[in-house]
Amino acid sequence: MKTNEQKNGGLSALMTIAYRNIWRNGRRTALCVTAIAIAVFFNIFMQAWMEGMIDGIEEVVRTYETGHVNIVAAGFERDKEYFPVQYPVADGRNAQELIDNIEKLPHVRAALPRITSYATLFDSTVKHALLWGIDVEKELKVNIFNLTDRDDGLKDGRYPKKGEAECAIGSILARKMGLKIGDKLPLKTVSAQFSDKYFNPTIVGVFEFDYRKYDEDVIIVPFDKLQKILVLGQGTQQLFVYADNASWSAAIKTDIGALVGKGNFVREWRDNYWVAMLQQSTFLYFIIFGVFQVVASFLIINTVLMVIHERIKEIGMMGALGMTRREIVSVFFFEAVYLSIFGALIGCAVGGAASYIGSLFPLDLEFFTGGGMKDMPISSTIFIKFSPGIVAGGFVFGVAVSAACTLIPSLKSAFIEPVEALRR
Amino acid sequence: MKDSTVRDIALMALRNLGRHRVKTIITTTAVAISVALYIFIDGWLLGMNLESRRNIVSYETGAAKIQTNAYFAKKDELPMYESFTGAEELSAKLTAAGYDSAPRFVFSGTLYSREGTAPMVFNAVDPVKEAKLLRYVPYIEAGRFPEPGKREIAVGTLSAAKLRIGIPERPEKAEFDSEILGAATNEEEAAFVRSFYTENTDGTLSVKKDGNAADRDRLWKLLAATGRMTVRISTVIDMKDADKPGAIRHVNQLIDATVVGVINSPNPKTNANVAYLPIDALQDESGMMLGGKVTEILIRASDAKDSVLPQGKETPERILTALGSALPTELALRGWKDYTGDYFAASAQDNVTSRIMIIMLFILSFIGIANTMLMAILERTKETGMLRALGMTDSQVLLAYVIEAGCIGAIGSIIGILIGCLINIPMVVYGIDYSAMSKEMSGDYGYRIVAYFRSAWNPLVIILSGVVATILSAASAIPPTLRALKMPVTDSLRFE
Repeated sequence: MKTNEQKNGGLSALMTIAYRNIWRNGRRTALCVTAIAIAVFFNIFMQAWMEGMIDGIEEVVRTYETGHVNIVAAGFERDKEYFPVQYPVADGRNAQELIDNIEKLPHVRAALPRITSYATLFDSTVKHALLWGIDVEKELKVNIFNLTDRDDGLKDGRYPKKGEAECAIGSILARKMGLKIGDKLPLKTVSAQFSDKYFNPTIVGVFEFDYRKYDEDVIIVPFDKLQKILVLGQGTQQLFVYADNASWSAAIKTDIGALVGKGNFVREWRDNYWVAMLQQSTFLYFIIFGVFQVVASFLIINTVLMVIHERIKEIGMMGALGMTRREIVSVFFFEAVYLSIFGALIGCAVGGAASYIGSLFPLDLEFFTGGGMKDMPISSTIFIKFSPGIVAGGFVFGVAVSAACTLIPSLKSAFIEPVEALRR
Repeated sequence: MKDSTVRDIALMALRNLGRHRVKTIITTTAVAISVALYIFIDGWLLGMNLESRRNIVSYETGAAKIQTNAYFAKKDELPMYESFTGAEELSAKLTAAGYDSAPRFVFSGTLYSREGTAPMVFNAVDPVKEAKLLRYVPYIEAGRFPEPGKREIAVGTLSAAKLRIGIPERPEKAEFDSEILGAATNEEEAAFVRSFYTENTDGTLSVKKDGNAADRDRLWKLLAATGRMTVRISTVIDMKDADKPGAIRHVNQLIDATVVGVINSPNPKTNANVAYLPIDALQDESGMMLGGKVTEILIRASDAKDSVLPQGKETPERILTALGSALPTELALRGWKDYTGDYFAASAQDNVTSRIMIIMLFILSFIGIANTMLMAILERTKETGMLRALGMTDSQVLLAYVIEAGCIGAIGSIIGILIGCLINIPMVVYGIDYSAMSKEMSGDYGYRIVAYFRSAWNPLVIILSGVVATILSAASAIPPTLRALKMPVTDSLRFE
């Protein structure tokens, strides 16, 4: 019987043999390592790109579209494309009361009331815009509006004050209309009672969120002012709830559902069409990465097969000298694993470096969409995401797939009879 | 080299393939995967691009447009004040040269229905000329296209559903009871309305598939009587101030109109927040105060085929030549490609990323072949020496190995082409449904396809991808063979 020490010594001896063996044919090794490196590089870089894009979309969705958890009336949800104001949350219950109750729930950081409605602009070549009624002070404590510079997004002036007939407009909107701070912005909107309401706020600020939809369409007005104009009473059109951590949203969603009751629609950010769709496509990319890694592993498989064939006499010798079948298989398997580790290391280095360099350069989304796709919730500037996690994941994935692929051909060496082999 | 020698060498190469069957199979599999994926991706990209381009030309832009230069510079903002007169003369000239033309006045505004409001792009068109030039006109899902001279309007199906205009395709039970059944004034009508729909299991109803056009018209009229089809356009007319150069005057305007049709064409741009109404009904003070002004003229050759993209007679150069001096200097004629930047950007991006991915895969499989051949040649160094000692020339040895590698490529390519074609068949026939995304983005995602993204056959690429894969794999045998041939014959015979 072998002692533990002998066993361990055996393993390291096998690994040493395997390591020496890979240098017996330099070109072959170089080709194998290159193939694995290319696959790993590709996987890491693609994933860095995808995750950068997903992060961009998730952040926009959480900031502007749904918050962590979003509460609207069922009637609003049905017609949400046109932002109806006739369906306040929880049948027009006092918004402040509702907010206080929600903020008492565990893990909730803040609940923010928001109103969005269409505005028809007068005396302007731009015909419509979106009125966005928010509690600016409270919003800025929770949200970072400019997604690229990570600040409040204010380019000029200030945000409108509570209760004042003031507004801040998006930078593209300001440019298109040729308006500046101090100008009046006459507009018309439709109230909860279906009546036309006229509003003539003064522009006190210009913002740039680097989210094209908002920079081009949105007029920020104080929540309380818009609530009054639209005759919403004490109610609100939408509530955006932010948790301490985005991952708590599912639990909060359940709690809030119980709190607001029937006739309301509660959703978390993961329910957003884009977030859900990208989660699905991640799976698709996983399959593509798998195909790449397997095709690259074909090289190692071939190499192992050839190596076994080439060294059949040696296998006989090893067997004759007392190596067990398991040990012989290990030698070939380790050789393949070394190849994949070296390949994966090079792939990680190149892929990591490429995605790190890429992450330093902002990519202008306009270039990819040609000005279309305004309905896609994504910041105008996206960054490739560099994270050690992706690089490490790429390494593990590369080595694991290749090792799994080479296990079967390595086993072939176990079926060789030492005596037969010696005679070849 | 004699033919018989070449044949012998080829046979030898083929037999050599069988020496390591597993190795050959694995290498050919790699080639097959690459070729199959390339055929699939290429067919798909081609399919969606072909259809998008045809749909752009047939439903959206025609072959070319005439606009003022100032309008084109700001075209995304729909600057209605950059309009021009004299469309009639240009049209007459174009007709004489064998072109169809359609004038348009495009403006944005808000559409109010009884149930909601939506921002819209309004196309004031000449219904007769529009129907001759573009193909969306027959795609009226319900109702008909507006008639000349009337305050009638047709809207895209996505906005019609949201504004609750037209015949609802899938109403909820409550909506059906109040809005549709409520339109019936007597028992007989109520029975008719009920017979028009079938009840679904999920509490909604759908329009029966076998309903005929007369029944549809009848239901449309019933619903119209309730005021469902009455809408109001709210907009601001922008005009250049004649007294102050450079200044723009704004006039608020409300226009009442009746919705007479809902458009659902294969181009998502015509189905989103878009409305069409007759241009001649908007000429005076109660309309858009046009006084003969248009923002653009769409052009297509009279004998153009829908399946063919604009070429020859329909190129901007040829149309310009036909127009001659009739085109004033402030106007410019541009081909359809100048108006669809969003599509070209989306398409170019997909094209580049997909192809880079496939080329990476190709590189991987060729490294695979190179590796296989390297080992095969190394292993047979002794044999090579033997063959050369027995009188085979270097070029014959090289040929043997090149054929062997080429065969791996060829077999892989054939399998790949077969698999690629097999994947292509369902992709061409059925395609993949993207209607959810189309709806989510209001039809604005670059491609001009409503629901099913289908592949197209591209025989040239299918054959070429196989040929290229074969040639490249044959070439991968050259470097290791040349290296082996450098060795003196005596050395290779002694090689272990």
